Formats: sequence, structure tokens, C-alpha cells
Amino acid sequence: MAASANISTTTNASQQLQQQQQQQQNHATTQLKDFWPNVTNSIRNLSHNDLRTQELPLARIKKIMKLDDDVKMISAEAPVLFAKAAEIFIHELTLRAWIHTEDNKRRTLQRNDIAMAISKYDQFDFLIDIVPRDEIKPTKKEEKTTTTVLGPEQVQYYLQLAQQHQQALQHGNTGGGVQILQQTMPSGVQTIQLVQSSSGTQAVVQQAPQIMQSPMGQQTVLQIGGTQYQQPQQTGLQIVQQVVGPDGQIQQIPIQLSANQLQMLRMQLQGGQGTPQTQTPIIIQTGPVQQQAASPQTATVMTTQNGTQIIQSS
Amino acid sequence: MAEKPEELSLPVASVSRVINDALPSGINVSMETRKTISKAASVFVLYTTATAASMSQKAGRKTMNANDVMDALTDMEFPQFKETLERLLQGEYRQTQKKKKETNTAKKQSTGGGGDSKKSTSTPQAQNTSEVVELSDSDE
Repeated sequence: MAASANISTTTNASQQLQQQQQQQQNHATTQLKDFWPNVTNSIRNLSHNDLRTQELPLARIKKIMKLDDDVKMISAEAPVLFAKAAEIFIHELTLRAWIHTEDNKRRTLQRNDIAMAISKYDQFDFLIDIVPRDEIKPTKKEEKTTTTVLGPEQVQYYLQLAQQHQQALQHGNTGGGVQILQQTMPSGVQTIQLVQSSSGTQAVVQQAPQIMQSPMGQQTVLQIGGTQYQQPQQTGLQIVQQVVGPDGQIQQIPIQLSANQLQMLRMQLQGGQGTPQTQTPIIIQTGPVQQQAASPQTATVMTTQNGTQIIQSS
Repeated sequence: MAEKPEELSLPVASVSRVINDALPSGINVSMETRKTISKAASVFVLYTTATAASMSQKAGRKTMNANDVMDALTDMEFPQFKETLERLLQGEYRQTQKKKKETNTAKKQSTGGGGDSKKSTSTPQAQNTSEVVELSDSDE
């Protein structure tokens, strides 16, 4: 009689709640505002049957309470209160975390949403150790790491490549392995060496040396075995140039290329295999392709003119 | 007692049910998040327990009662929980009272009235004082 009436009002209330929720799917804040009236309503309409459906197990609640050595005797209603309080707590924490999920336009509640909710809401201060704050920033950290490559000793090169260079490049287009050399010798003279590892084995392809000119007018020898990718997640990739001066000293200088540039370069070179004496200049500009990195940008210009190529990187 | 660590936090399944009630349909919650929320809720229970225990200690009682829990929630700056819990308490109290009345009358009818001395001790006054449980391993 009275109980059945209670049940019907409860179902009405829950239907209303559902409708409200559907309407306000994109308004977590409004949802949170309506939270307490709704809870009060549902509690007001509690029937005996509702009370029996205990969401959280009382045995577990008691077990948790028992962890506190000061607690010996509790009244029978205490665990029930705890269970309900924990339920409300979960509700509120979830809703507050969901606000951050919505802010980020995601559909999945993630751990860092919880961390954000905890850090933004003073009442949750006691949870700060459960979800440490530093877990909030992993995405920002990743962004930072991508911006760091590039050695300071980025030098401008004018490379004059002989025809053998083309042959050297032809050998170097099968790469998949990764090899980075980054050493700088004191001398101002440089050699370019691109180390390539194909199918797991690392092989340094050394072709006949070619002459190139640095802006300082130094004579340099270029050896190019091929171009490679660094680890795929890294956007900038390095090609190491090993430059040998007339006095025989060797300097290795890293050139920064993005993956896009490298791919482009590789494609150009592959095209060059068929027609080694391409007359069209190959221009690779790093500026727009490079990630939002604040690092100095590299521009590479390759020109093939009667077998002579000029690479400029700045 | 060598408890498994997961036995000391609330079960993820029941916590998930509460989470799903809180969120509209179409929102996913990662397993990691569910575990985190369950852990947080357990810490909340433990924290409340400790606060409530100190409340009863302050009052010079050995038994933690509902008022201690309420005071603890105020102390923890969760006063908004109290109204709901008080309503629950009243509902619960009414329910247990009613149930006891029913069982009493049933017993009286079946035993011919007052034959069962054990149950007949549950006078209205005895009902008012809530029963006390000892937190021991045997109780569940």
C-alpha cells in the first residue's frame, strides 16, 4: 500500500532523473548542481526494498573500518552509514572528474581527471596521495621532450657533391634501422657520414668521397650511405655529417631533419636513381613541417646541376 | 590475518555500479579509473572511521555510534552528506523498528504470548538504543 506508492514515486523520480541526464549530457556542471536535490529526493522516496539493495558490501566496509586499531565497537547503523556515505562520495568524485573529461572533450573518464578533481576541490585533499599530482602532467611532459633535439653547432653548409654522390645515395635507400652519430671534433673541417643499417645489420656505406664546401670555404669530403629514421615517435631525426678537411681532420656534425623531410629526401633520391643527373633542384624546407618546436629550424636545399648538389642547412 | 591488498578496498564491481549510476550513458570509464575511485572510496571510509573513532573517544564512549559518524563528516568538511544520511538513518530506524514489531507480534502469536523470554526483552526502550556489534572476524 504505502510501500507500493513509494516504489512508484521512486521509479517516477528515476525516470525524471534519466530524462534530465539525457538533456544535460553536455552540462556536467548543471548536473552537479542538480545532484543534491536528486539525492535528497531519492532518499526521501526510499522504500524498504530500496534499502535492502545495498550497493557496497557491508562486510568489506567493516573490514576497512577494522584497519583502524582504535575502533573496537561500533553501532549497527554505522556500517550502513559508511556504505551510503561512500556511495555518495563516489558519486560526487565521479561527477567532478567528469567535468574535466568534458572540458577536454573526451568520452572516457581517465585517471588524470580524478587527479584534477582532487586537486581542484579542497574537500578531497586527503586523497592527494592516492592520485599523485604529478600524474596530471604526463601529456605536457611528452610535448616538452619532443622539442629538445638539435645540437648547438648547427653550421651552414654549402655542399658540392660530385656525381658519385648519386651512386652513394642509391645504395642508401633501403634503410630502416636507426643510427645516430653525434660527435664534434675541434677542427673546423667536416665530413658527412650517413650511417645506415638495413634489415637489422648495421652497415656503414662508404662511397667515394665527395667534395663539399662549408661557408668558411673549407674543403670537405662527404660520404653518404643513406638516410635513416630515428625512433618513429621522434619527429626530428638526425643525419650525421662527417667532414674531412684538407689537413685530414674529421668532424662529425648532426643535421636535423624531420621525418617528413627525410621521407621527402629519400623519395627524391629514389627518383634520382632512375635519372641520376636530375636538373631540377630539390628543396626541402623544415620550417612549416617541423613540430611546434622552438628549436632552430633547418632548411635544406639540394640542387642537382650537372651532378653537383648543394645542401644548405641553417 | 594475511589479507590480500585488494580485499582491503571496496570491490570494483559494486563501485562501478555506483559510478555508472552517476554518469549518463555513453561515457566510458577506464578500468584504471575505476580502481582509483574504489581506492579513493576506501580511503574515504578509513579516514571517516578514524575521525569518528576520535569523536567517540572524545565523548568518552567505547562504541562508535551514528552521531560520531555525522560529527566526523562535519569535521571532514563533508557536511552536505549529513542531510542524506540522516534521512537514511530515519528510514533505517523506522524500518528496523517496524520489523522488530512485526517479529515480536509474530512470535507472540506463535508462542502464545510472552513465552519467548529472549524476544520479549526487546521492549520499546531496548529498540531505541541501537544494537552494538563488535568488530571481530566472526561477524561476517
